[in-house]
Amino acid sequence: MTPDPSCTELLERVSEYLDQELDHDTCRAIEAHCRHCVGCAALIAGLRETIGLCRAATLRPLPESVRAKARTQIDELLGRGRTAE
Amino acid sequence: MTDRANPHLLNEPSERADYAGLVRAAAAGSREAMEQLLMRAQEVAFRFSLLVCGHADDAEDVMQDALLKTYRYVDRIRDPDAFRTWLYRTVRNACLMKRRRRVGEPAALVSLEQGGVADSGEPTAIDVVDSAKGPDDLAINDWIGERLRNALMRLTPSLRVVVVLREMEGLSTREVAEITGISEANVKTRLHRARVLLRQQLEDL
Repeated sequence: MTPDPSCTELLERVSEYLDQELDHDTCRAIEAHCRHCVGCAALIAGLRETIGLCRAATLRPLPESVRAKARTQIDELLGRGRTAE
Repeated sequence: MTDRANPHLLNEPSERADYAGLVRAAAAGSREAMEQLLMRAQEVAFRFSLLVCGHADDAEDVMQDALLKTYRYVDRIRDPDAFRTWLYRTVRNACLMKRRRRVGEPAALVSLEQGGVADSGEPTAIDVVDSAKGPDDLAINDWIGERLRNALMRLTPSLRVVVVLREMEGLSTREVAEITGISEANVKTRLHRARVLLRQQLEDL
């Protein structure tokens, strides 16, 4: 049984926990700690939310104006053929 | 424990294989594959120059640079699986060159990987946010979210590059280490620090 981590220990390992890089027992110990520690539970929830926000942001397609410029540049390059750069 | 990449982007094995497949097909003469590859290269260039370097007005030049280098490089690449890290390194270098050329930039530039974080973990310098000015900025803020964009720009470059590559681009710790030239342990340390600071910034904004 992994002992209950302190808040400091949890803070040090929270990223590994969120990235699922810790062993099962350590994960369970962190979760048990968070059941009675409001601060650490809030920290983990806040970091999860932050990570989710980052990941969601780049799932959206780029603005159409940017994509249009990219397409124009590609068309120009491919239109010129391989020898012209 | 193995390093796990973000599950939502191009880092899944099938997606990486897809990247490598595009490189092989483009090198073999497929125009369609080349077009898809070039579009991806430009998207990477745009996101990186905007989110890491913070200068929306540099993005077009960086995109052009990524486009030309990808076009030239595809025929010569020996390991298609290495294309993706090559692309990010290329874009990163193009961004650094742009920063060095910018008028009014401090004489002693801090690279994207160096400095900017004191031993205490507190940032020692903050990049100036390139606030919305150009015609594309409203669209950009709508895309990324102005609050997140501003919070990212309050991180030091050395933290920002890690959080963008890892969380937003979906690269693995190993790939981020290869691109930035720092150790995997250092990537993890910076990622943790960046996440905590980013959360604080988002709460403050």
